[in-house]
Amino acid sequence: MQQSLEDQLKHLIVDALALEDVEPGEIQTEAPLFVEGLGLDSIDALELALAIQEKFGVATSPDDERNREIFFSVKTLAEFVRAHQAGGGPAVAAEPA
Amino acid sequence: MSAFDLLARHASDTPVAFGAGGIRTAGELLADAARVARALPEASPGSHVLLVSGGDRYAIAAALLGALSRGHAVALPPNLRRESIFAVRSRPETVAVLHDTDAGTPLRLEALLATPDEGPPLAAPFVPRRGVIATVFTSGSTGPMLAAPKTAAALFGEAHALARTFGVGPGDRIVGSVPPVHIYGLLFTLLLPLAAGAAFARETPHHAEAIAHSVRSHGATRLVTVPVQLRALAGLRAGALAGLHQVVSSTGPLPDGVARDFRERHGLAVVEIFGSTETGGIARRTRSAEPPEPWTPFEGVRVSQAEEGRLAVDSDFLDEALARPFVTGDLVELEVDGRFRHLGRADGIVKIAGRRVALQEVEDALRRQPGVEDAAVVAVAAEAGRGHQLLAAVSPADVDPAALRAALLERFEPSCLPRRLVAIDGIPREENGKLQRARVLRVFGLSPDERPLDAALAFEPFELAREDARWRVRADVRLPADWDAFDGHFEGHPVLAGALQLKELVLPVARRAFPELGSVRSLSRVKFSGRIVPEEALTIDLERESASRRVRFEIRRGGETCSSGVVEFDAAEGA
Repeated sequence: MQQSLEDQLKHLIVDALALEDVEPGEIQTEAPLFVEGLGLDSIDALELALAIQEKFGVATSPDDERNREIFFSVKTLAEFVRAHQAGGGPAVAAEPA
Repeated sequence: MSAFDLLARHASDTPVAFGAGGIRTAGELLADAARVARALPEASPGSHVLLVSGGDRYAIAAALLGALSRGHAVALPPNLRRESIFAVRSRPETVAVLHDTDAGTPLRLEALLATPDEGPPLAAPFVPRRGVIATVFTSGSTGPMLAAPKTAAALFGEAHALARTFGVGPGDRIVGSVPPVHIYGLLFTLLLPLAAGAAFARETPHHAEAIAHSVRSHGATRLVTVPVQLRALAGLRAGALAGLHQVVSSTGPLPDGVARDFRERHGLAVVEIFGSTETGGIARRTRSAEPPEPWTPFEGVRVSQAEEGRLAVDSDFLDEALARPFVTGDLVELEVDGRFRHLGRADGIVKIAGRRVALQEVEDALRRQPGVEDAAVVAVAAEAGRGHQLLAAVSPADVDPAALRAALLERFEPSCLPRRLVAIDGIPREENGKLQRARVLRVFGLSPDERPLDAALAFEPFELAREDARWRVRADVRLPADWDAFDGHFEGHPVLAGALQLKELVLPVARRAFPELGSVRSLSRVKFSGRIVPEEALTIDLERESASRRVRFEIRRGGETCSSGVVEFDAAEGA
């Protein structure tokens, strides 16, 4: 059975940030990931951006305001990944490293 | 031009700031600083104006020069957390607040700089007064904030010295991905360009793509950044940072792999700065090869070795109140040529993402939480640029880690929180109360040298064979003499307990051979028939019907079976 993108992202968050006390299923799709919610910090945002680029081939936006919106929750991340995987977004798709 | 003047190398129409908010010239900065000065109350001896930087470096530069010209010193809080800002604001010497955040409180710089004002600009160059002109606060784990009082000789003098050392001058355009609030960001991304005739980016980009965008769209020549961002930047395509000819990193050690990846991708050897809030910059090194060269002290900085091998520093940039030379908490080894190697910290303090954290303080905070009887916090080396991370164990086992985490968040920066927090029955301690670090690490699946326990066992390459519908796996391993899994069972007679045979020998092999299996559901027909002792060579055999979730295991020493049984697994999640 194919995992939903949201579930894949939850697993990715737990794996990439080595949150060994958190089960992917405990992460609420719409809850804030940073400071409140999971209590992640700005460094985690950088780590997570790297992991998302590796797994989904989608790079963060050149606009940090937009990045703050993208990294708000699993839901916003999933929307972003979906939009760019579908090839619909502006020029922020991953450039081959 | 004195050694401490700012804007002496800019003409009135030379840009000092660039970015999405537009270009600003030296003339505009002097006019805006005068406008800020006129909005401030009169200075009294020792009065400070609190600067809260929310994103526009130009506004903070105008606020800094304006407050100083009015006769105040400035106070820089350690971060943007409400508690930190309130703590500085409630100090008696704080007479006003200047901020460029979204808060509605006065004096908001954005509004102030937009108000029509026909008054005269400040004179160029900007000549600072004597005495303390700034207090830089630092915090890691909060506790009492450390206040570092700075004179113009220290702050502006160091900015000029850095400009000389690195050859920064007119035409240089500096992007800082660190905010101008702590000493590193303030010096390198704001004061250095003002001293050198150069210009700075108004914004502080954080993500790799945003940093690259800022560098390229503004033709930046230098980037001031930190190890975690360099790791992300090393993943950008070659050419993404074209135009840069220097990249500076500080606040924590740059891992070898990151230094190398960045260099190979972007053709630039990162210049690393070693310093502290009390001393300013101490030394530098260029990461052109691995292992890195020793640290070279900055011009005018004299280093020596004090008691216990600690680094002692003397220079014109030390805080005035400090004893000279200032003895740091850093352990070093001095080379004959005056360079030094950094060996670690001497004082139970670790650096996490550039912040100093006292383990004791985190431990005490945990112990004060309701229901907690004992707590242990250990620091282990962390991946990438984070420096260290904390692992915490509390007892008893029925304490709720989530509640503790929430309580800690009220006091500590998120990055200083323990990365893992577990509740167990009884923190492992010696009879005299000393923490048994190795046993705490084992709780987290780590060996005493901080490697994952299953990696601590060097399994020989597996043999994986398929016969009919049956998988067979064979792995050989030699158990280390000093393996801590042998601890704590029978004093003087180390044996590997049955549960650990499963956890350390059977499961790591099963997980590697059959990654599709989930967690352990049950054990059956388990027999532990032979003692397993240090330095033994063992063979682990697994057997599984290919579609089944049951794995039969046997641990053998030569022809003799030490243990055997069947482990049944759950299906993996999402499979």
